[in-house]
Amino acid sequence: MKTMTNALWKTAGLAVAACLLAVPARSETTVSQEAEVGYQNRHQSGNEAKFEEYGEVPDGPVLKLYRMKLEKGGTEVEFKAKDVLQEQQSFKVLVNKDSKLKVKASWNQTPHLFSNDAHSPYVQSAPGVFVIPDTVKGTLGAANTTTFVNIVNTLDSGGMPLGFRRDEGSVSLSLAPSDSLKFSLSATEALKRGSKAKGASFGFSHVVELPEPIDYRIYSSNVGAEYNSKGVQLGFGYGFSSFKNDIEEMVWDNGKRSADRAASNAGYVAGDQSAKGRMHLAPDNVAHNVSLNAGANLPFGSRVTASLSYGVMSQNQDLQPYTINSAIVRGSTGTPSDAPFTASDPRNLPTNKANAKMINLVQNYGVTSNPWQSLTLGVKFRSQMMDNRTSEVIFPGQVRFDQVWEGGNIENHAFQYRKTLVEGSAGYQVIQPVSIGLSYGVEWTDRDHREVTEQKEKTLAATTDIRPAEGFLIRGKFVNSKRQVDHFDVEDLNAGNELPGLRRFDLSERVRNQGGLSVQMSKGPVNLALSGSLRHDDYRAGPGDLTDGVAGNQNQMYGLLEDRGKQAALDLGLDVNDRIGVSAFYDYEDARGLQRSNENAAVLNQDGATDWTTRTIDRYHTAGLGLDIKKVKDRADIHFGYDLSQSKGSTELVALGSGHSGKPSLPDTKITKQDVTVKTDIKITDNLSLGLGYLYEKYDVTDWATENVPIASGQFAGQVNIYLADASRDYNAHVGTVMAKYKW
Amino acid sequence: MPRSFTRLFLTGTAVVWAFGTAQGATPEKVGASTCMSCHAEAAEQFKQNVHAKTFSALKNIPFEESCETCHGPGSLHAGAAGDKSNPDFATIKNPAKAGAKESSETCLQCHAGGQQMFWKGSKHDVQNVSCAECHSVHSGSGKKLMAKATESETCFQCHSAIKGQINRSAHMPVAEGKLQCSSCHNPHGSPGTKNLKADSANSLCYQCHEDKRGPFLWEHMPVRESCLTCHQPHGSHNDKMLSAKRNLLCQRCHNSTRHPGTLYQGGDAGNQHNRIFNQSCTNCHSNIHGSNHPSGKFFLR
Repeated sequence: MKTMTNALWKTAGLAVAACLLAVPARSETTVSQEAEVGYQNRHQSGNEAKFEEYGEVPDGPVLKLYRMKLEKGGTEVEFKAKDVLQEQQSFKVLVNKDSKLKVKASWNQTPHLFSNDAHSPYVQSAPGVFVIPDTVKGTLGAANTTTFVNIVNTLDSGGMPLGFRRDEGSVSLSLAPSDSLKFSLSATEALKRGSKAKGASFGFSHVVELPEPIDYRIYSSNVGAEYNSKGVQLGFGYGFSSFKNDIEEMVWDNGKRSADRAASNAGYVAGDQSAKGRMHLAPDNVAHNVSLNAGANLPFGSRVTASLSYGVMSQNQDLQPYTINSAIVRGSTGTPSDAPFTASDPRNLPTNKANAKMINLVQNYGVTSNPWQSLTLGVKFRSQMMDNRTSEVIFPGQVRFDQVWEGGNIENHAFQYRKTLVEGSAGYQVIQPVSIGLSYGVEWTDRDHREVTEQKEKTLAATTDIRPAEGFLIRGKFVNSKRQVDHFDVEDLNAGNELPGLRRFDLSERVRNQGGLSVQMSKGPVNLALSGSLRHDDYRAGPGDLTDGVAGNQNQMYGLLEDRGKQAALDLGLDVNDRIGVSAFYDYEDARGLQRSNENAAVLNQDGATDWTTRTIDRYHTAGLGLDIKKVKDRADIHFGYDLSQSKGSTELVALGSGHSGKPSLPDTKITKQDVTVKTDIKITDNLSLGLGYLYEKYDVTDWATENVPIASGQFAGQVNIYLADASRDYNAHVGTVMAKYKW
Repeated sequence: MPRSFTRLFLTGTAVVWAFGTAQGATPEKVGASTCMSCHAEAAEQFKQNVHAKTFSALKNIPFEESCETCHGPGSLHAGAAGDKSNPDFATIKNPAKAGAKESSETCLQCHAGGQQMFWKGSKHDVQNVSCAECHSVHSGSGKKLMAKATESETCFQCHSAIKGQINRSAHMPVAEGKLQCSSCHNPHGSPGTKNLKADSANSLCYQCHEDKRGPFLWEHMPVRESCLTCHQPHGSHNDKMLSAKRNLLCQRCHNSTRHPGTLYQGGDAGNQHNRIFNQSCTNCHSNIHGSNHPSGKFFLR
């Protein structure tokens, strides 16, 4: 693979050289350059990573942009560098010869920072291997909660960053030998390195979180050909992608044990049976995809299009043994949970390879027609087939959390599905300013190995556009869809110990009503857009016995019952005069879900007394204000901006069985981000301008789950947990910038 | 029946021809020099953009013919000498002011293939969005000649709800400039749904999240069917762009006995119960996108 990438880099290099050599010798060369350099001063309270989540905000000199463009004859060579020496830096070289041959090479870094200040008692002794000191091994198991927390805290070696960066190098070449023919070739190599938080628990009462090491290498390449003549277009594409994870597994110590032990069936509750844990990380995989696209114009303003895509994804990684716990052997405890063999020996697996393979076949066909200017008719057919050819393996049991053998055959069912959509649409301009559109579609889905195997969804959509005057548009839309299932396989649910009344929301019957209205006005100095929408998803039980024939079971549906949303937005732009412009934006969204569940220790008992129903409410406010003043004293442009993004999440316990009386809802969460920006661009000469900028960002978070995460926690009875302490925190940041922009 | 149809067709053709020829003089091409005598600023803007270069290089259209390639022959319009009351003034074609279909047809003369192959019948075409609503051929910014300063600003003109979502605390790096709307969507239409640049939402997500691609020994079926079952791709205030807060998101589908059916409440949040605190359910079920471990049926390993 590396050889192929190297070959492509060399090809790109040769192509660039060929382009440059092909520049007509007598042509005049024009070189234009642009640079933006300056100094940035940053002050941020605390050490919160959110401010630099996707890009570094340096404190010191910055080279924000350098661009050079060389033109000679019909050949252009452009070099562009952005955010040089910063985490998010990018570089691009583009050679364009007569728009017929284009060669591009690029380097692009995208960071994703989660925390600057994660903590752990674990030390990574080798990639993916996490250890705690020998002196502590086993002692935590006997420690009470206070001692556990104290010991873990003393092992903390200090803050560490948590995040990764995707570095992507890419070369591409496109060649258009004639007006109607185009070929393209591209290759990309990406490296993704860093870490992210990963749960690596030993049991219900011993949660462990570790910084999963990320060392991914991804190669991808694409080849394409396109034919485009008057009225007929054909396209061919082939894509290949290979994902390689250089760290295949994660192994970590259990502070509660220094020697392996096997346990009875409930042994995973305390999480103190194995000396280590082991987990498979993302497996290497490859994907191929071939696509064919075609379009042709037909008489009466008609056009037919077709696309066919065939993809194969496969993965055949070696399987790890059932567990790393060497004490889980035949007859080790003398209980029914005895393993039939040594579970840590990979030879006892029924297969030693994953042998996983999926085929995706997607077909789209469409005909659209404008028999006359005011009428548009269309028909679409879409078929998507996911054919899972992964080997189905029967395992005689499993080891939960590396703690205990659980006997009984379990099989990895090869889940697969097929979706077929047929849709017809018509649009008609009734009179000059008014047009209406109608569409009706039916999508059939059938699946293997899920509770719903056959499903049908009918969707009716109506739209209307009214353009009463130039620059004035009123648009209305209404969608009604009904999803029906032919069968709900409760038996299959029982195998997973789910309630018989449960209807999973991605499968259950659903009636969706959705409507929206928007008004846009663009008249002279005023740009105004108002929009609003409502959505109501009503999930229904559909066919099947909700009680599963069990006397005393409540005959009602569980899961998500209803999902509602409403949204309203205003976007205003006003040019007060040639020099002053103001803008205002406000968006409000409200999403509410209603869900019912049941808490009962007895299997499959929908007793009513332990039912509970809760409503989740998410409210969002997004606002922006802007003021632009141009040509102050004929040489300065000034921008003032204020942006707000606020979200509030709450839950309401709306119906509780008698077993839950008096329970309080989960606390509210709230996140607010505010930005104030001032930018000034002062023109010094025709070529030189000076930019002065100031940014103030304030971030406030209230979230009981992610705020104030400690390294060790034992507040809940019987639980002792080790976290990365990568909590979300409030911060204030001030950034002052002085930039010089020079063009020559 | 065939005879009467033939008569009807011939009569209709004759009427259309007669009507067409009775409209008066046919405009002829006058060349860019004539256009520039009134529209110098527009012509100067045009000279700087990509069309001016590709017209000559790819289409062999000299600059002198470029205006009328899109606007049609201009002799009658030029002859009206700016007099808007003269019917000839309106004989020039202005795609920015024409109806959506007519406007787009002008562009499709050259841009019918590639990214625009599925334009006809696409969401935007059906909703009468014309090319000129997003692109400004004379004064557009960047190589794509966007009508607004950036691509996202152009899209947000109509998609205001998405503008709100993109600004939420858990978001794609769109505001940071590392992704654009067109990284995932082809606004000119695609064979699939939502103008996606892939066969499905999952195929698109796997282009950056290859580690989630698998396939796995143990599949989490709703995940394999659609990433959007749990994630809001445009932004959310929940960690990992989830559509609801864990644990409640998981409990929408998992109601079985023992802990998934537990009513977690204020007291549990206050004392950091590990099934709802921090990563909640995924504190333990950490391989929720699929597992390749023989003991991974419940995504614990």
